[in-house]
Amino acid sequence: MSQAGGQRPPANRMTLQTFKARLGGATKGFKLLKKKRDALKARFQALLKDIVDTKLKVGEGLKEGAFALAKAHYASSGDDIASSIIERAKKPSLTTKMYPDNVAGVSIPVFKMLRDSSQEAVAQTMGVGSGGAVLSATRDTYLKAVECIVQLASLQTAFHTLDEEIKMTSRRVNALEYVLIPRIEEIMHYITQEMDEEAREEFFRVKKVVEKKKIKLAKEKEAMMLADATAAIDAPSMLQSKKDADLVF
Amino acid sequence: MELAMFNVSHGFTESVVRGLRSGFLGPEDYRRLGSCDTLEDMRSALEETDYGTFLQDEPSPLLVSTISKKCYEKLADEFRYLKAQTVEPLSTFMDFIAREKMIDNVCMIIQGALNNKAPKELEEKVHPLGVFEGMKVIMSESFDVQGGFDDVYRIFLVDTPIGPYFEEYLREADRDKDDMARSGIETSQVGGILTKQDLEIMKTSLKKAWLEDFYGFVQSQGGTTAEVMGHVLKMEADFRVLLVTMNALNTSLSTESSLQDRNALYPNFGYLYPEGTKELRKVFNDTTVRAALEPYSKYLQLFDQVKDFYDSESGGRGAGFQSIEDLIYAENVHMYEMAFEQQYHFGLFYAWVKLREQEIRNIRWIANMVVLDKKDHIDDTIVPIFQPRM
Repeated sequence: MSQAGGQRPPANRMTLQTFKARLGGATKGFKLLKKKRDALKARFQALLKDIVDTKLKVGEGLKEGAFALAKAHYASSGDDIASSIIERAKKPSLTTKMYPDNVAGVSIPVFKMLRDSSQEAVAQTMGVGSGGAVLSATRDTYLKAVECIVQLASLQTAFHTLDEEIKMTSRRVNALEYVLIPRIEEIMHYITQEMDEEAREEFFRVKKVVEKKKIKLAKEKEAMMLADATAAIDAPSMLQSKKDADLVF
Repeated sequence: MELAMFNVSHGFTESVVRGLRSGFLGPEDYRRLGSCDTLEDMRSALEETDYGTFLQDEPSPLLVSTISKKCYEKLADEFRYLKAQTVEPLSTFMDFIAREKMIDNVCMIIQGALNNKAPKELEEKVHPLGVFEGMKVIMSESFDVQGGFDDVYRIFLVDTPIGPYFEEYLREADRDKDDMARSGIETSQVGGILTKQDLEIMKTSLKKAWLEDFYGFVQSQGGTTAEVMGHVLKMEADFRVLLVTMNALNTSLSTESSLQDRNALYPNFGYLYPEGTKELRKVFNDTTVRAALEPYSKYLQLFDQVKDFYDSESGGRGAGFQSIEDLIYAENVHMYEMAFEQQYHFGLFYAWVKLREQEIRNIRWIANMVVLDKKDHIDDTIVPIFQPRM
């Protein structure tokens, strides 16, 4: 307020008009932003639920994967399968691609998992001597877990982006609601007040002028009356006047 | 002759192994291990068994891999101790046992060399049972890939007992590349062969060669050894055929073009050989496997128990809980236990090592289940050794 208090605009009808327009714009923007925020918030709440579900699923999937891995270890007759698998890993058969998704004007990245089975050929002969099928089963279990993780990743990213966006929008909404609009209103109030004041001043001034005029008028009148009175005193005595000429018919 | 002379040379070692037999975990130990809540609990539970304080110096937090590694090291220690007591031909026999693990190690080193792994890293993954002298040399020297293969190859060929298997394998692999291999193997080609071949297949065929060689050696011993070990190895050969067949199902190895590769992995002896193997050479899906196993009621029964797991139609793998490995482990344990029932033969040593391996697998499985908090699965998977019979 202090800032606005420092440099008040000239209080006249034109500035009032411009401020009125600004207020209109601000309220419109405020309403729109509020709608956007609400939409984002609704989406956010839905996301939260999804994230919790997916997180549980990921936990479950990884647990199953670990169990399957233990089985694979058991089945592969004590060889160190982990290292030989890692040594064989060359090109990834799983890749993720990013697609944009739009929520209330905010673009949110969505990850999709792509599987290229041709890269898995190297793993096909894994454990032919013992445990090969168990290994493949383990891979399938982990594949499911990875799918969940990718899903979770896109949800989390969406969550993060939405969170930022909601924060920003909220800030804007609040700024509009609690700072900008009140300030404009205050200025408008000030202008109208000032203009009222001016009007009252003008009215008072006019009244004063009229009063002064009236007094002056009254004075003039009085003076005239006085003059009249003196004139009456100076009137010629009828007794002293000469005889009128005779009337000749 | 055997009855009279066996104990002169091998009596002591045999008695040591029979003594070690009582070191296997009993039902009480398994129960105690199963009721552990953390790996720390397992450490103290294992301290009361024959494993003793083998985990004492390991820093917390304990890892499952550390436990199994230490178990293997303990087994290797005992194995080396036993081997030091042996005289020929038992020493050679013990060598044969260790060779299986040597093959694992060598394959691991080759794989590591292909990926330019530091020798230090490789050293940590070495199976303690399969350590041999030449290995230290290749591990300690950091060889570059180009010149390195020649080194690797020469060391394998000359210095190690598994050299002949490599030679055989490489010659065979080279023969596939027809005209190049007219004059045997030239060292310069070895690098090329090693990089091109699928290491997993190479490992399996090396093991096949090992199994065949072992069988030949055992037969040459004659007597009870040939009888007991012959049976054990024949069963193992059959199981190997089964395993390879089952594990190749639903993979690229079951396609028309690579049946050749798969069939090369079948050993040339065993109860299934030659008729059963001949049938199995043609199979490509679970129905044909079943048909091929039809005359062998025992294997058919095994297959029927696990065929859900390998059924390609019921929504992929993993439909059934047990895999063929689980059943074969149980069969093997029974078979190895039986080897203890006879005296004056070498099968005992082999059986002992294999049973210990199974026990380590059991411990590892229990440790995994303790970590994952899925203890209901402990009892349905592990195969206790020398269970009291009702």
